[in-house]
Amino acid sequence: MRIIIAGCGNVGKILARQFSMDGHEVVIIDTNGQRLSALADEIDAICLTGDATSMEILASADVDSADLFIAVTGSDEKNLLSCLMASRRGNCKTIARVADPVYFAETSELKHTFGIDVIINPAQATAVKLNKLVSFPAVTGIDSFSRTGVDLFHFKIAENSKLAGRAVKDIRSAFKKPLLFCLRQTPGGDVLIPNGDTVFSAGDTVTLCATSFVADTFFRSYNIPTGKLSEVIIAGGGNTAFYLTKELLHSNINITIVESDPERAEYLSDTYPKATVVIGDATDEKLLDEENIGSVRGFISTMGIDEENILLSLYVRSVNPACTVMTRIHRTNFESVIRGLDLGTVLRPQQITSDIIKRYVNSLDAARDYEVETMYTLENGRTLALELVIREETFFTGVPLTDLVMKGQGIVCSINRDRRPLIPGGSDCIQVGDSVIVMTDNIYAQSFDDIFERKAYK
Amino acid sequence: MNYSLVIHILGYVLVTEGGLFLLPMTAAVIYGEQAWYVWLLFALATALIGFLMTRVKMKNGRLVQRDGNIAVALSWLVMSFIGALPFVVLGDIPNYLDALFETVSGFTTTGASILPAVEGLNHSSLFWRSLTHWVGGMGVFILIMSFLPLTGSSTIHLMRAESPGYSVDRMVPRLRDTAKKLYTIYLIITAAEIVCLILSGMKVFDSFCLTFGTVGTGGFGVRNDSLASYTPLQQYIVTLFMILSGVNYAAYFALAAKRPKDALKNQEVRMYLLIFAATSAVITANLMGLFAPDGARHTGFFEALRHAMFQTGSIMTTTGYSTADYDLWPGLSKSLLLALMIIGACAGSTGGGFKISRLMIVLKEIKREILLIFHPNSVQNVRMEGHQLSRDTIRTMNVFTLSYCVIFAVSVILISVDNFDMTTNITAVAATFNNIGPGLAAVGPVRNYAAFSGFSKVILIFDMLCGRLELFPMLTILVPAAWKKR
Repeated sequence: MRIIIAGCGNVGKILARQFSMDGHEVVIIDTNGQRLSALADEIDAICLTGDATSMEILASADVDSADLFIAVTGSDEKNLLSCLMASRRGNCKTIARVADPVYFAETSELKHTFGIDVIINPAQATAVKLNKLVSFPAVTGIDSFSRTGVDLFHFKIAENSKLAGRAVKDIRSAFKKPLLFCLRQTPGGDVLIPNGDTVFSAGDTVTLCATSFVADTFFRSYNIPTGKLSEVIIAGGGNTAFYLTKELLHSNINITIVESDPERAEYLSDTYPKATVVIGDATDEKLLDEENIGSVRGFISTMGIDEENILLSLYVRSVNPACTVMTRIHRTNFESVIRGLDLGTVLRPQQITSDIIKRYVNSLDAARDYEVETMYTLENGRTLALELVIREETFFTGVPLTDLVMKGQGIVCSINRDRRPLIPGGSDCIQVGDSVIVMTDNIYAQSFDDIFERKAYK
Repeated sequence: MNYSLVIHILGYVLVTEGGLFLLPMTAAVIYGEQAWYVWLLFALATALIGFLMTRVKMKNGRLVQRDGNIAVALSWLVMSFIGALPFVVLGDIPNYLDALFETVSGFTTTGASILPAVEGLNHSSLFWRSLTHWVGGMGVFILIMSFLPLTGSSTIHLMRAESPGYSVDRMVPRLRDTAKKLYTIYLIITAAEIVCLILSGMKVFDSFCLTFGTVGTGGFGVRNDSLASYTPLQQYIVTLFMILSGVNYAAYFALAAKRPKDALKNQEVRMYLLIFAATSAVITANLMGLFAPDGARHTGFFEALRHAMFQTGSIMTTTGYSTADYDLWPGLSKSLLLALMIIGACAGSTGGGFKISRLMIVLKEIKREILLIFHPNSVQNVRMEGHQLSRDTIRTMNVFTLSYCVIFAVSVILISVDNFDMTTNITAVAATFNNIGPGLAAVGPVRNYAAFSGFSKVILIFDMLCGRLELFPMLTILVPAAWKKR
């Protein structure tokens, strides 16, 4: 596909890297030449300096022959306008990032008027993800798949957990219902795909593949807290907090928002009368004490500055180890340092936004006989979870899974057949019509051929 | 330097060179030369060593600009070192340093020769000599990128280090597609010239060799008198294709993309054609006295025009073919030709020299500086092809200009140890540094470089590589820090 990306911020960079790796023809436009030239050295794409709302720039990006136009600049207006120009001029699909809640409220109207196919609001997408996590407080992340009934639950094994020191096969045979452990990340940052003999230890982050019902029973039987949090403190009253409050109020959760700007606080309180809005600086220890930080069940830091979020989350963990903490972080670098900190669940709006866009691009490709339905780059950035749809007989169908040879590390997590999820054993086969969730360490995998060798043991 | 990565890249270069050795082998078989197996042996050995080098495990596959420069400079050196061996083994050029000079001169599309006569050489050697022009003209990495799996995302550094111009960039999003398109255009021009020359009645072997020398803007011929003994029609055909080869390939790209307006708007190409036309006219007028003594004005004019156009095109595109001994021409013509040697062809073409776009930018900068004297607070930007040039680009350009002058001057001083006259020293450096070939006086079109000492030849070899790779890659490997392991 020929893809034009307007805006070379964090999202633009992630997308440009991924798409050029996938073999798409990528043109990326930004007004900041220096930012572009840094990217130009590293990826295989044309980098154009200029304004994406200029017809001249769009023409030199060859918008006429583009298949997809993605506007992710910092300005909503520029995003909308450039999408409008691109869709009028060329015959391409368009995706726009819109951050302003006022605009976002009119999504369907905007889509219609501007001819935009997808409108993404990073704050809202982050809020949706946060809301899901609040329902499973012990879990540091959940990835859902569109066709398969199972989710991937990432959780950390606590110091005193009964899971620590036990082998995977023992856990599975003790627990009768179908589930699968598909990833183990040690505190040292090693990522491996466990087999039956793998022994978990405290501090590991483990990924569990199961339906939410099974996961819920599993968490209960190992004393991992489940059930929604009853109260949450949100530090910072930005757009993420705005959308999150809306989601959480639906589930009758007590919310306290700490916001320093009185006008903004007033506005939030007006919009959500049920929420408690506190005017003050969330980084003030005394203020947090007053809000019972020592006993609160959930804490979400969404302040404007990453460093403040990190400090806040570390502080809350230190005074209240039982509290479920979620931290929003914008920067995409120093990933290994951030991973080593005890920040609870880390959410990166850019990653969430770009994952949504990648999924949309994959679905466009799916119309061209590709197999990928859904994909997630897992938190460690070194593993990919793919949902593949089997449309026709291939080399891999009808072969028992034990006979398939993996390229690198990988595991088949779940097979969805006739709308019912099946956690596969070694004797199960992949059949036409299935959708299959596969975990692989080839983060650019697109099909079965990228994951399995075309040869069997027999 | 990232040793494993550079070795890996060198491996691909050797595999490619091994493949190229098969072409002179074919020529040897066709002309019934006994030594065809020498070429086959070289092909197999080179490809095998290259293949083993590509198997070296890479620790870190990320190519940074420093390693890109080093890899390109080393590749050109290694390619020349190996490419020179067959000449020695076949006995055509017994001295290895001479063979190396000839091969570097080939790959860098210079066309400066140490051979007093070429007509006695093996056909396969002549063919290889000309083929090096063709490979070096567009660049070996562009060739590799278009068909070997060297597709890491940072290969742009290799292209930047190898391709001429102040701002080398891809023309379509994928580098591999860019490389393929460039080679397609190159192949089309090559095929067109071969067909035209064969139709004009030239021998097939000569057509191939001369075409390689023309489209690569090299200048190695297959006859002792370069192009003087070919028919006027054939000389005109070569003139046309020399001019076409000196054009910025971006213009052809625009044509291929059905944007003829963009091709016509290219400022550099317009300036290039203007300089060509103006200089040809002046030299024609200047030569009238030589070719048209009173009474033969009419035929003399066409004679003068043909030689003037051919020589202007040949020198300007840095090809270096000749139809006449221009060393005997009047002073004005010689001065103009010397100036053209230094200016060179368009950036982004197969030609060498300082490049017309650089000259245009330097002139614009001079104008800007003068305007600033009159209006000290005014905003004065330097624009090229409709885009404002960043201060960074201009700074790099200025450093290039200075380095160019310094290397030129130092080279002239160094080769003066051989005690040739000033014209010889200056034009020898001008003709090798700008990848032309023949200069004036003792290195004029009917003379050669054999008389220079070994030391001077090494200096001139360095100049040829420096000129072809646009200074910085060669300068990078001279810095000791480049060899530090990383």
